[in-house]
Amino acid sequence: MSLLSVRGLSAGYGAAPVIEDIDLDVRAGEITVILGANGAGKTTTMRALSGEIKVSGSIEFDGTQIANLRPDQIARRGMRVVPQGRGTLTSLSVRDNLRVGASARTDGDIERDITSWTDRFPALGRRIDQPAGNLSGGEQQMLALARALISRPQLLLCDEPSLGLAPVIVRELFAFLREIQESLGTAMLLVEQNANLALNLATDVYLLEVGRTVAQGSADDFINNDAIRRAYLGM
Amino acid sequence: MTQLIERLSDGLTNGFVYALIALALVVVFKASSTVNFAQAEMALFTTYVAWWMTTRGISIWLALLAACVVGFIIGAAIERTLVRPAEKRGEMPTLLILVALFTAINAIDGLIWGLEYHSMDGLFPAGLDDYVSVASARIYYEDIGVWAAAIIALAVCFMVINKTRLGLLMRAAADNPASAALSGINVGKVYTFGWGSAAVIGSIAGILIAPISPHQLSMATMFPVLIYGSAAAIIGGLNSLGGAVVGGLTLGLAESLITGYVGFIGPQLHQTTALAVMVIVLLVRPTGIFGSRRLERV
Repeated sequence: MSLLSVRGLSAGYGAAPVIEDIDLDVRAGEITVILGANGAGKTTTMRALSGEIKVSGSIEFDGTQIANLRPDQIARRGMRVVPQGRGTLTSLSVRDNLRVGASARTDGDIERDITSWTDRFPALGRRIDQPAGNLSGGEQQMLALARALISRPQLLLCDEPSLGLAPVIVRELFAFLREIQESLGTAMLLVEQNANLALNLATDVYLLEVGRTVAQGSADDFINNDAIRRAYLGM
Repeated sequence: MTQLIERLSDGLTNGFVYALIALALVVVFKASSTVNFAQAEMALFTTYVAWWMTTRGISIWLALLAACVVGFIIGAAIERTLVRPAEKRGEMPTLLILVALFTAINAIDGLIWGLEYHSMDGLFPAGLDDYVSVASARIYYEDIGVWAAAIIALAVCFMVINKTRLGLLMRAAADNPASAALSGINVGKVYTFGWGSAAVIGSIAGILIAPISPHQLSMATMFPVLIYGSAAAIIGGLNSLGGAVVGGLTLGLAESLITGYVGFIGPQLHQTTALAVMVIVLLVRPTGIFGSRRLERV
């Protein structure tokens, strides 16, 4: 069953659309990845889905139409984004960053969840009352993930989570995403340039080129299809 | 010694009022990245409303409450209907609209309430004998009342901003609006609330200063307050709430001591001292004393 179902999505920043007529499905509880080179429109797709830019076409999330809602409305419906650049609230403490992530929740367990996230990421726990701007890039990426996940989303969007991180941290990060998907059943839509890692993590794959989807299939198809690998992934 | 204590007392009174206006400016700046030139005139309008209510026999405390409510509505309405649409076109149109509002509100005050000076009841006893003697200097209850009221107002502001959920949302929206929105915060609503709150702070400042201002309650009451208040906010760093308070008190004391002790400046030139202090601070620290550049790591 599709948790997110996108049909004929076009979006851009001026007169000419950056992405055109994109169809895309994310199944509940599964990890889907969008691959593509620089300028293929991956980030624009993310911004279109999260409500940051105006779109035409249909975006159905969990059975309701969310095209052209505001980002905060979409976020409160259970779709959270880890934006490129991580969106750290630099002047706020690590704890307050997590509280902001949980601000749409109305239950009383928020402080307990903060503790469990800082247990999961001890680096965040050690600096819980420091400004989040003091964290390293890798730690900020963990904070961004925790800030999104503490809202208990149904769908997590990650825009190039590996960008600017050391390879060892990137592997840790992808292992963590797998762990979250398995333990919490959170569906994920990833945009990634690192095709190797992404194909190992995902079940469904879309390949984007100059604003259009040029191939789609299961991750296994992509890994086993020499033509696609050579033509698009340089592997 | 006597003169020094009285000067300090005067300086603190003005300083606290400047601090309140500076705080209002900082709250708005954090929301909309613009200096609200109309802040003090918005405060003058609500001060007139309070004065008008007292002339109808309503108690000044009730009038203060009403002025705060009116202030909140005006502040929120200005953000929603004028500032937000203008922001889409850039900083300069926003700034121009606020300068226009500054003159427009002042003129509207004149149209409604006339050009003459009105004497306004203060919140505190203001008789000739309402003072305490400290080393033979007189410290009037009026002044002590202004300090107390300002301290309470400032304490409430700081508590709301640092200790409540609403304050958390305000700080998040000010820090990184795009990211706050992606976390489910309705940033527009938070900004509207920020403008409303700033106008409430302004209303309190206006009602504190009007009874003791040399201009009494008139169209000129808030001009020096705006000059000192904005200088205080800039000295403090424009995005630092604590800086606004320190800046306000520093300027209030500097104004009072300089006019008292530096003969050639006297009562005519004292507003220039605020600007001179501001220029010197900005030369040494372009972001103000407590202002910060954005910290970012990739």
